[in-house]
Formats: sequence, structure tokens, C-alpha cells
Amino acid sequence: MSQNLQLSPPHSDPWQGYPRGTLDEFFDGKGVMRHLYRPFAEVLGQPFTQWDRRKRVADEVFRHRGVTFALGAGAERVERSIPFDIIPRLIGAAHWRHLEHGLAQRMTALNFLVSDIYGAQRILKAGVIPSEFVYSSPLLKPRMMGIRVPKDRWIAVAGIDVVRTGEDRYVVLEDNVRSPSGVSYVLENRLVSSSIWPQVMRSTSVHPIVEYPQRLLDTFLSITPGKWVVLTPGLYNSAYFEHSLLSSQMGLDLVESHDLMIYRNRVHVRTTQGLQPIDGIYRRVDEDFLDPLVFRADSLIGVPGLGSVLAHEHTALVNAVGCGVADDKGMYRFIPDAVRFYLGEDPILPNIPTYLPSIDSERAYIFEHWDDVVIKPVSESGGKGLLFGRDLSSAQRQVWREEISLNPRSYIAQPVVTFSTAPVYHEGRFEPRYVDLRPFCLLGDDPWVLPGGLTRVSASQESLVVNSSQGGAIKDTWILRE
Amino acid sequence: MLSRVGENVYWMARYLERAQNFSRVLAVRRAQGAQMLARETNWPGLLRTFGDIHEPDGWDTRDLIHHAIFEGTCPISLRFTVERARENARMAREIVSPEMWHVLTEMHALLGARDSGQDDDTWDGLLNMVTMDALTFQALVQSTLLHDEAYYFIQVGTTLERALSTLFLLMSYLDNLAGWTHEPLFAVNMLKSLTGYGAFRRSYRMSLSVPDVLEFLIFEKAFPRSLAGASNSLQTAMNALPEPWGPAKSKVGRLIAQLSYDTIEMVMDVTPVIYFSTLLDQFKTIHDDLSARYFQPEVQEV
Repeated sequence: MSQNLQLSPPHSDPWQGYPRGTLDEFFDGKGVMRHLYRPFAEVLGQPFTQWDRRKRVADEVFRHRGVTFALGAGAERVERSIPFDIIPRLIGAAHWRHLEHGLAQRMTALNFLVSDIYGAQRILKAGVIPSEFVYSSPLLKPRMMGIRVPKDRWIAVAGIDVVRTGEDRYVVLEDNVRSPSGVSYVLENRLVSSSIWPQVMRSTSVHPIVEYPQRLLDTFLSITPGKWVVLTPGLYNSAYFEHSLLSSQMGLDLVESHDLMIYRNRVHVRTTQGLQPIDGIYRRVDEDFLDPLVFRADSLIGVPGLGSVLAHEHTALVNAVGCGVADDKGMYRFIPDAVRFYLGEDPILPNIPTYLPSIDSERAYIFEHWDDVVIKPVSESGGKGLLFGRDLSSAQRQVWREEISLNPRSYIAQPVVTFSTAPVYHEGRFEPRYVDLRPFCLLGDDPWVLPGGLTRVSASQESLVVNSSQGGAIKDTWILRE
Repeated sequence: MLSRVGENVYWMARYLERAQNFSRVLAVRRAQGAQMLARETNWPGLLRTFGDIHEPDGWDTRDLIHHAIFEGTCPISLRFTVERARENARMAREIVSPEMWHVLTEMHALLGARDSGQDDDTWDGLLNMVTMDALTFQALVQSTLLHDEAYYFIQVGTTLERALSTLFLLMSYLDNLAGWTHEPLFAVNMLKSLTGYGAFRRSYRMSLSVPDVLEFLIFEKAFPRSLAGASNSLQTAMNALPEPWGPAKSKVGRLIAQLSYDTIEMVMDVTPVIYFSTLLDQFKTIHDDLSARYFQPEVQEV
């Protein structure tokens, strides 16, 4: 028996056990393959050795190109290829138009909101968002109050996670503006798809994504022309591949903190020919670690003095320090209100209902509906700290009741929302997994949304958590043209 | 370019050149050692000369060779060297071309695989692959990289390391110069370790003698791995670096002048040990000056 056949135990029906009639990207409500996926009909009939071969090709491409993420630290650190599922997720033109408009609208409102919070505070004065709710945000940076940033761009890059909850309904899961990562996987996934699905791609009209690095650079230059650099925490950061790929494709220097220094109140980079002033930094370092003199004193990856320089509008920073206040999971509840307030429009993409324990009635609701809610810490990301109420024992619920009552501003609760699944290929058969979508949005002179995104896949059929740090995988996302 | 990135590509090039040379040295020693009259070549002495600080106790030749290829903590092992090359390349990923990265990743996987090194009958193939991959990498530097500042730092690193590798190899043979008359394979191995046997034969038709072989490997400007040849290439690469060059450039010039006027008789007079030690110090000073000028520059606004 060949190695290929050993890898693929023969299944008479690879779809055996695959649920039908649920909300699925591949099958419609009647269990029929969606029209979008018709180009795949032919390859589905191929022997499964071909699918295993494609999987191996994909893994090889990722390995050779160094598309890895790091697990562990120090001597225990290992580089792993990102788990990639070879079946892409397809989104039709009409759905994408809807998403694109909604994301651009939300991105614009997020920038207005942060600018307003650190500036005139119109939205607080109008009572749309309670002032005390903003002031109690762990992600608010009071030292940025009253500070102006170049071109008033507080958020120029965002990854806004959405999930599909109905045939034509998408909702926003969360806004990531602090340091949204994953776009390198989007770019690399497409290279792999081109290698393993050449015939399918030829028979399908898919929006290209290759222009992202150029658009990103244009966004930076629209904020301030001049010399930009990409600031990385360093080689051991799990997203280092992304930092190096983007800097390479934009033609910018990839710098670490010790490559930078403050000289005559400007940020300079150490070059082989001396110090060179720079005008903008695309930072991929968390803002708390940017400057040990101003933020966390224990930061070893910061630039002493950077925090003071940023206050003088000499140097642009993407995204600006303080933007995280829009990333606060509690603030998420108010983003649709911010859309209405700043843009005078109804939000195109709705939120998931969110309960704030800091409001008495909502806290009571949470404690009465443990089975129906998921608790999230407001300042975490990457699926960390998620707590499903239904999984808690009575004693644990009591412990959490006390914790939430003591620190109501640190948590939110949301109903457990079921969203769409998509098939993943696993050892000769297809299995459903929950999927979300992280599209990448830029805000230079105008908002722009990358026609694609990172589809993240849950680790198991039961799990609703799709973060790759929690064991999930990724898929390429094809946006079909009209 | 960034000082740090300049240093990263410089070291990436040095480690790759080191791996290329050392894998060839190991392959030649291993293959030829079995045929020599003396049988046992001085493996511990060789490893010590190249910079291994371990003191093997009770190891046989197989253990020593395995150590020199696969031991991740040994500072001269091929595995260590390739890991360092890749690490430096990773820190300069925005400069390194995808093809270069691919080759480095292959080398890394070859030496880092869990079961690698179990069967010593596969080692010849492996050593040959390391040499060929490193040469492929250097060809890719020529053909896939922008020939800007980074390219010239790579050339500087490559040529400086080439000179040092030749010097270390020469030093590793100093113990047995007296035995060359009875064992011609010493000279053949030394030349083959630097791919210089054919080139030597085209220049010297007489039988192999210590002075002729040393003269060729030290002074023959037309041979790229001789000390004079590598120093000339080093000077060419350094001239392309940004000015002011600092003291390193004048030191390379002085070294080339010395290698142009010294003779093999002078080397034998002062003894090869002293002559090579002096050269080693000179090359090390050139590295220190380069490092101080370009990689840890004084605060100076452009």
C-alpha cells in the first residue's frame, strides 16, 4: 500500500456524518452545495490521495517560506507551521459589498471616537457614552488627553472580526485596533491556494489581495510623507514573520527598539552612516511597552523617550498610543452608537448584544442567565480569558459572581452566539468547524478594506473559539467578483 | 542601512562561508583519513584549532565527527553554524530573498532533523549537501539580491571568513609538517580541503613539498581561497562600503602589501606558527574595526 493511501483511510462517503440543514458556508439550508462552490464540484470527485498531496504541498510551501509561529520560549521554543486548511472560504460579491461598506463605516467611526475621547469629548458631553465608563477603561491613556496626532489618524489599521449568523446576516464580534495581526497569513494563503488549486482559480474570478502592502504604505504616506519604519518586538515575537514580510514588501526598514534612539527631540534610526531622523513608525509593539520611561518601566523592547516625542506631533505612530480604548470590549457595546453620532447613519454591521456588569440591571441579568452567556475580560485579546457560563459549577459561579461584582468594569457578557461552519479536510473526510472572518481595514485619506481576510477555524467541532493561539487553524478567503 | 541589519547580514555570510569550508574539511579528513599510513588523523587537534572548547574524553573518531557535525552546543559544529546563519538571516528577512531563505531552511532541516546522524554512512552525502547548499546560497546572493550596501557587507563577511578559514586550516596542519615527506596525503588533503588541488597542480608541476603548498595557499593571488586572494576580494568589497571607511581599510591595504612582498622563505625563517599567529591577529583587528565603524557607530547625525 502506498504512503498516500495510508494517509487517507478510504471512506465510502467523505461527507458521512457532516451535518446538513445548519448554517454552513459550503451547503445551503437544504443541504445542497452552494452555487459559489461549484468550481470545486469536479475536484471533489478526485481520489483523496490528491487531497493529501495538496495538503502536503501547502505545508511544504509554508515551511519553505518560513510562515511559522513560535510556541514556548527560550530553549523550549519551537517553530511550527501554521495549521492551514486547504479548502478556501468563498464569499459572494453581494455579501462582500455589504461587509465592505459596513467595515469602512465602522473603521471611520472608530477613528472619530478615539480622536474625540482624547480631544473635545463631544460624545461624552452628549451623554451617548457615560464619561465614567470611558475614564474607567484600562486601555485609556490619560497622558494622551489633548494631544494631537498627525492628520488626526488615531487608527489607521484595524482588523474587525465578523461572524455570519444568518443567510444574509453578519455581525461584528470584536474590533482589534491595538496591533491586529494575521494579514501576512492572508497574503501567504493566497500563494498556497494558487499552487494547489490552479484550475479552480482559473475558473473563478477572485479579487486579488496583492496590493495590500502598497495600500498600507500609501496609508502611512498620506498621514505623513517621509521616512517610515516598521517597529517589531524582535525575532522571538510570534508575529515576527508578518513584521518582516510587510516591511520587505513595503520597502521599509524593520527596526527593533535598540535600532532607534531619541536625539534632539526626534526619533532617529542607527544606520551604518550615522543617525537618521524618521517621520513615522508602524509599530507592532504593544503601546504599554513602547517607552520604559513613560509606560511600563520593565519594558526591554521600548525606546526611552519615545513617549515624550510622540506628544509633539513630530513623529506619526500607527496606530497612535491610546487607540486601545476603542479595543476595550466594554466600549464595543457603544460603537454602533458612535456610528450614529459621528456619521449620522445607522450601522450597517450590527453588534452582538453585550451586557455590562457595571449597570446594575444587566449585572443581575448575567447572574440569572449563566447558561446563556459567555464572560469576556475587557482588555484581553486572542480568545484569552473566555468563560462559558454553562461550563461553570455552582461553586465556580459564586466565585465569579464575587469577582464580577468587585470588578464590574473588567468584564462583559454576551449571549452565546452560534455562527456559520465550513468544511475542513481531515484524513480523508470533511468535518464542520466554526469560522469567523478577520478583514483588514485601512484609513488613510479614505477607508479601504482588503478584499479578502483571514478566516479562522475552530479547533474542534464543538468549540466556538477560533483563535489560532487556542489551537485553531486558518483558511484562505476568496472574495468573488460580480 | 540599519547598523543592526548590516551586522546581521555580515554574520549570516560569515557563518555560511564557515559552514561551507568546515563541511569540506570534515569530508576530506573523513574520507582520506582512512587511507593514510598514519591512519589516525589528529581529530581533537583539528577541532581545537577551529575553536572547539570541548575536551572529548574517550571518544572515538565517529563520536568526534558526529560532535563536529550535529552537536548544537559546539560552537564550530555545522549545526550550530547553520543555525546562527539562519538566525541572522531571520533578523534581516526584509533583505534576504525568498530563494536564499529557502536554501537556509533546507540546510537547517537537514542538520536539525531528529534522526540525522544516526548512520555514519550517510555523512559523506550530508557534508557534500551542506557545501553545495552553501555555495548555492552564495550564488543566490549574487543573482537575487539588490547589489547595495547589504550585498557588500555580505561580501565583506564572506571574504574575511574565507581568509580565516584558510588560516585555521593551515594552522591545523602545523603539527605534522615534518611528516609530509613520508605521507603525501597530508598535502593533498590540505589542498582538497580548500578545493585547491587542481589549481595547485596547474601552478606547480614538481612533487608536493611543504614550502610549495604553503606558498600557494598564502601568496597565490589568482586562487580565491588563498590568503592573498581572499584579502584582495575583501579589499574590493570594503571599497564599496560607505565612506569614511575607518581604520579597517588601511589595515587591509597594509595586509595586502605584506602578502605581496613577503616570501615563503620569510615564513619558514620566522616559523609558520608565528607567521600565522600574526596574520590571525591582523584579520581579527580588521573585524573589530569594521564592527566599531559600522555596527556600533558613535552617535553622529547624517
